[in-house]
Amino acid sequence: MRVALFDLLTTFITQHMSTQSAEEFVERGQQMGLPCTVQNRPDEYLQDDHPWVRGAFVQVQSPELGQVTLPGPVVTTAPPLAAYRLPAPVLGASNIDVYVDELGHSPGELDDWRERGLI
Amino acid sequence: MASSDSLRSGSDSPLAGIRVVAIGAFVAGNVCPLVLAELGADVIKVESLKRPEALRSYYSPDHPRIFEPSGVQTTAMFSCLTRSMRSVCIEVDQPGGAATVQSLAGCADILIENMGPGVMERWGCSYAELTPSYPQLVILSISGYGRTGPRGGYRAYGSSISNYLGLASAWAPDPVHFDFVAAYHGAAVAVAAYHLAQRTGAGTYLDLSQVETGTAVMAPLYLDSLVNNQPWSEGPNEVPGAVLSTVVRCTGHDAWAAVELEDADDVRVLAGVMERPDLAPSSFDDALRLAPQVEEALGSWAMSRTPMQVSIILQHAGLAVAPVQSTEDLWRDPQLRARGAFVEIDHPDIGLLEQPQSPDRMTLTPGHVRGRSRRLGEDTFAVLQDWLGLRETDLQALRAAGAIYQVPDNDC
Repeated sequence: MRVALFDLLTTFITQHMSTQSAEEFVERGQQMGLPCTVQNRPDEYLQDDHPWVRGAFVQVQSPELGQVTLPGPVVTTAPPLAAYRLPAPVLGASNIDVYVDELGHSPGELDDWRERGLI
Repeated sequence: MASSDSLRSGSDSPLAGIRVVAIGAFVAGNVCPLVLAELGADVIKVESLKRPEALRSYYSPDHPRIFEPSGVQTTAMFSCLTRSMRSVCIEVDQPGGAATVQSLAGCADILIENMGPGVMERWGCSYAELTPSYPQLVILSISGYGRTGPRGGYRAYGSSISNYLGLASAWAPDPVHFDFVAAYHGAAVAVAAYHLAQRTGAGTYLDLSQVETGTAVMAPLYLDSLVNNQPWSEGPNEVPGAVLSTVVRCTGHDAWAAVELEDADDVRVLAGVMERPDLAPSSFDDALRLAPQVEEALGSWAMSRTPMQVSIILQHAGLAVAPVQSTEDLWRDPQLRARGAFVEIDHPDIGLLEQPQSPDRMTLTPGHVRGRSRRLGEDTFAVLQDWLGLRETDLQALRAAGAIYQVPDNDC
């Protein structure tokens, strides 16, 4: 039925939508149970309150860039479980943590490996 | 074909022994439990005969209308997305119906739902209502926008999310992309929360928003705005940071190949293949300068070759090139065939169909299709006996009250 009435429906919907903003139409439609949405460009989506209120983005201190905003954890949980932990590592930033603290090599060995171009 | 009993136990599969109740619909609400089922979990899909799952009636002109013996409709898509699970039919609005769903949730490790706002509360199955009695239960709630926030009560389909996030501007209004994105994120976080519950005894409520899982996979499109305060610039085929990313027309009707050149080395390789040493750059900046000429030369070079020829020649040279394929091409694709990406499944109402195999390829315990999609209510009695220990008289009383439906034996 909707396919058969496509042109007629398009005419009615176009006239109806010309009297209100997209946001108004979506808000009223959602209140009536219609799964409609505003069509955003990627940067327009970033202007919407919803993801920010939900904590979809986090402020991150980057060693190179300073404070930057990035997408945060993909799930909200109760109790809270997922959280941003670390910035992207600078190349070799965890060498001492891994080679010395976890695998038990000495700092002298690391110096030797570094001189030989191994790490 | 798998019986109800064989679907119950995934034997030595990774998630064998984990019980999942799926109260879901459409793509995200089915694919997420499907992933767990094909890794060995005992997944029961709860449905109503009076209001069957919406995917059952997603009719398209190229598919006949197909009905199960109960009279409920089914489709190839429903069959594909609900396989490997058991089917339990419960009418929540009938006496004993909601209590049966709650009891099943109490026997489960994970409950997955993607119902509209307020539905789980009306059924007495919200996290707040279930967790006092079942503290280890993990509830995964998948929704378009999340259950909180200014748009937390909004209804959505996959296409809504595609438009809201900006994917439709950058790419195309894909109707299901973000359903699958949320489904796989949901499977991962549900398993993580299950393991936490095993370790600590505490369940978790997982409020999984398709908007946020979509944001995560679209991060490269947002970073220039987020970090550099730059407006998004239209360039659907341009990969940020690449020297050149484009599609080139090839020999054949609407025939194309996709090419991405990341750095000066890639451009030098391409220049060598095309026998155009004048287009070999000396540096990344030089490659950027030469990019328009490289694209023009590549277009001329590709015009006399098919997409597959372009792809094979340039892949052999070490470049990331792919033919732009139709769904028919994908079905024929020798790589997918060689990898066993499709599996034949026979269904008593739909017939023999090829469906995608589970993509989770662990060496010793690979995910796999465990059985065809079940008819509505095919496993109601078996599950209620198995999970809840109900006796025949209990089952008949629930059936007489209209709270449950079991497919007659001669229809199985």
